[in-house]
Amino acid sequence: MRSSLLTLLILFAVQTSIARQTTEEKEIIDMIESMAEYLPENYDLTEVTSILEDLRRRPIEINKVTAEDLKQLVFLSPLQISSLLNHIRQNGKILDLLELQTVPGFNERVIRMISPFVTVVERNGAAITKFHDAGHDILLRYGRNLKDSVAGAAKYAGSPERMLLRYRLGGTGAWNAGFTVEKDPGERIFGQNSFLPDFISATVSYRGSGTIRQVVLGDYGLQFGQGLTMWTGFSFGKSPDITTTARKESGLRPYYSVNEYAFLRGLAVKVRVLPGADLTVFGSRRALDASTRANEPGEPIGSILQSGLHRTASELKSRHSLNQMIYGGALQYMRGRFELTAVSFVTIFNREIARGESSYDQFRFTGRRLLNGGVAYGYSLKNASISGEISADESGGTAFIHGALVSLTRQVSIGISYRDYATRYQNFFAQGVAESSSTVNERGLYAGLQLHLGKWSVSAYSDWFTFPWLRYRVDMPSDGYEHFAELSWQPDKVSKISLRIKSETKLQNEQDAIFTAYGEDTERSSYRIESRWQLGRSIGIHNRVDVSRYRKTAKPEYGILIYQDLQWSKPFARLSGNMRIAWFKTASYNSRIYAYENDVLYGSGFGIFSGKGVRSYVNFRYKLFGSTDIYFRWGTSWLFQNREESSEMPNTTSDLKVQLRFQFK
Amino acid sequence: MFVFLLFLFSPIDATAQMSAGGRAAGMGASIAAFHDPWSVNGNPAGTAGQERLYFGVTHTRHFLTADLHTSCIVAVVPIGRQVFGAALERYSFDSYALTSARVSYSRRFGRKISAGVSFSYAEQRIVNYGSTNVPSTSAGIQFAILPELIAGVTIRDLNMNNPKIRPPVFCGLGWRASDKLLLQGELFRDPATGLGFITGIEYLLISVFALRTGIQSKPFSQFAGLGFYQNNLRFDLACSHHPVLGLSPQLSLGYAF
Repeated sequence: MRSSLLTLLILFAVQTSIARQTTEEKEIIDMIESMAEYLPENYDLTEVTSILEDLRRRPIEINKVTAEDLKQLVFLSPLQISSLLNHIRQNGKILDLLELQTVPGFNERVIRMISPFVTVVERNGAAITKFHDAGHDILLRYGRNLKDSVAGAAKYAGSPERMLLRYRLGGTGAWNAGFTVEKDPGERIFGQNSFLPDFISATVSYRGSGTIRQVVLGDYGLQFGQGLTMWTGFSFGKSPDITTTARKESGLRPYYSVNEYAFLRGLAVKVRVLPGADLTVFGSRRALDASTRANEPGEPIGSILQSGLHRTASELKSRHSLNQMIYGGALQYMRGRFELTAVSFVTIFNREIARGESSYDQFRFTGRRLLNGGVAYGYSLKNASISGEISADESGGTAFIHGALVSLTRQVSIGISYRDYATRYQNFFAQGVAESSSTVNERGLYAGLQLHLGKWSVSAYSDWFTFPWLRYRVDMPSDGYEHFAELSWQPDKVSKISLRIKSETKLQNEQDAIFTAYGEDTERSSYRIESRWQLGRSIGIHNRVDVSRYRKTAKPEYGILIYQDLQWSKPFARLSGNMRIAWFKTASYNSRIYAYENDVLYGSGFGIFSGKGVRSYVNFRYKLFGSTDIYFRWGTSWLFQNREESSEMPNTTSDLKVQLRFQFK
Repeated sequence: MFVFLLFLFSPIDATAQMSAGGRAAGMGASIAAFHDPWSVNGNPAGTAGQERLYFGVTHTRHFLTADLHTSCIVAVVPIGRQVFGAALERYSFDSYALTSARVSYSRRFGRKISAGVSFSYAEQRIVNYGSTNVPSTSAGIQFAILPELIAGVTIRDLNMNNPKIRPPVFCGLGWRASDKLLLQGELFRDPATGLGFITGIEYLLISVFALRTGIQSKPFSQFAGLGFYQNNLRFDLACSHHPVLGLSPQLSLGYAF
């Protein structure tokens, strides 16, 4: 759903040309799309896709592979990683990737997905640090909405354009560097009283195989354990792919993305302290956007803003008004099938943070300093793997998650996990698997099942959750559940038909409460049928019908979205592109439907459809010369019937994006 | 508390209290495609093909309360290709009791089809309020689409006094994915709760020890269970979790002669 860009990003990451969309790409697109439902709008996925793109350029040598390398492949489960390593240990070198079929947990589908990123060829490890091998990658983007509402534009300090410049140096295997500058629509090109753009990010990193494993100076991200203690950036939540319920930590990573909140800034070093044991020490100091209740100087901070938008006077006033300093360390130990990670850090703010006055805010953090620590583990044996994490803050709030992944037969696997995040648990960097957006005030039990039966596959999960304390718009402890099932049929390598049902019920305050709100079960369901196939060698067709259902005590209401996608591309042709036409009709905003949209490379955009209307877009890519590509995107929405929430919105809106990408050695 | 529970299990619902044995209970209480001696209480077609005399007892303590429980004994007697079954069950606490007696009959038709019927007579008794009796009928069939894939349908407890009350209907698939693994999936329609589903898994960890788990959507409950097989003796332990009322452990013991 909210995976617009993911889809396209991965597609590009996997194959720099959109020429042929082969099966492994579709597999990955499907998987990422299904995992991306909980992403915020306009989320930049470079951090995920750049890893895959780098691997694509420089595949992992499978016969020298380590668990750490394999963890970068998001679609492998801990079980598959452990059985692959075990297979190589016992049977020696792999001479052909097809040999992987004999590894437990690897079927044809997994091998198709893994094949672009691994190689049986050995590079003899020669001169990975040579600088003249380095590749340069420059990306320049310009985008704007063509019919901004006049009222909206007047409020903003800057012009309505979105502009982005990104440079990356990579490909040597050891040294990497890059910087990003960006301005969002409505922001000034240069900040107030300065000549610096609104958002700047830069990083230089080194990766070695000696005592010093990794050094990152500048912006970086950290992901450890199951995400209960320290996990910045992108994370997979509950998903139909049960293998993602157990997180795979990626540790320290340089940061190239444009998300303005979820990263650290400073220095981080990873060293090998003992065989199998790595210590990462990190320090970060950066400014955050924060607001106070009355916006008076000296007043404690009410909330930390994550959107990264600085368009209006109040947004500009909040900009960089809080300093955050973090220092800490993580010890990762791995031996055979067992791994253990311990992480601890201190978060210090230069201003007092206060909690809100609402009852549901009562257990939030207050103060200037917070200490966090956690221990995570993982262990695989035969066809089962277990993993989990226990985490605590200095005031005694705790969070834990424990899960198991079992491959019962070659065709059947199940995943189960139980999570318990205390109401008083406080952590600014926790991103555990959860129903709510934060890792706090929740207990839940997730059970998933996956069947692969030749051309047919089934995946299903159920998640039961309870919130022991009040939440936003839920004035009582509450609970709920979610069910998901998908059946898909792949008659050949390029076609796929799938059918999915998803239903979620949870308690919310009743609609028109006057004094006391009672809870009402609110049910949101979606039913989807989707197909993809190929017409000849150069045209791909993809269509989808999505029906949504919303019910809160009263009669249910429905929404529908139908779209048709067309993709055309020829191997070695200069021009390729795709387009969509979609029709939608929903009873109200409650029965809205999300659909991802293809975009320019690394671009982002998914549609939220409500009311009645038509949406259409077209994307082109043209190879100018050598490795220079130009991208173009045009999208238009016609609303025949406005949804009630946004009567200000014009009935026709269009957006335009142009992007240039220049790669050279 | 008990008054509340009483509302929860109104007479229609009371039929749902039937014990389909600790094995089914560990797998989400799926019954339609289940093949087990305890099917006397579930889909009666599930007893067809039983070759040995079977005798079993089960006891469930509901929601860990002190005295709300169900006890049941079951017997299965195969005579040639025909299988007869009988069950006696009591669901009660101090001032309430639902007692039912049931007989079932099933047989196979060819290698693929089996069918069965059962008749029960239930008495509901509330202290100081008197009692009421309900005769009811259940029927079901099972069909082997493949040797390892069984489809089943059953209509449970059609009220003979008032046939207009729609009985619950269960349709399910049971797939023996390997020697060790059994998967159950089932849709049911109950007039009290509407449409719901059940999924269940049984995994034979070693030849004498099985692990089970399952989910039921209405009410959304989780199930887990263990099974021990020792020669002719079978011992099953199951526990279900109701979202509001909590845990209900169940114990079953059976012997095949």
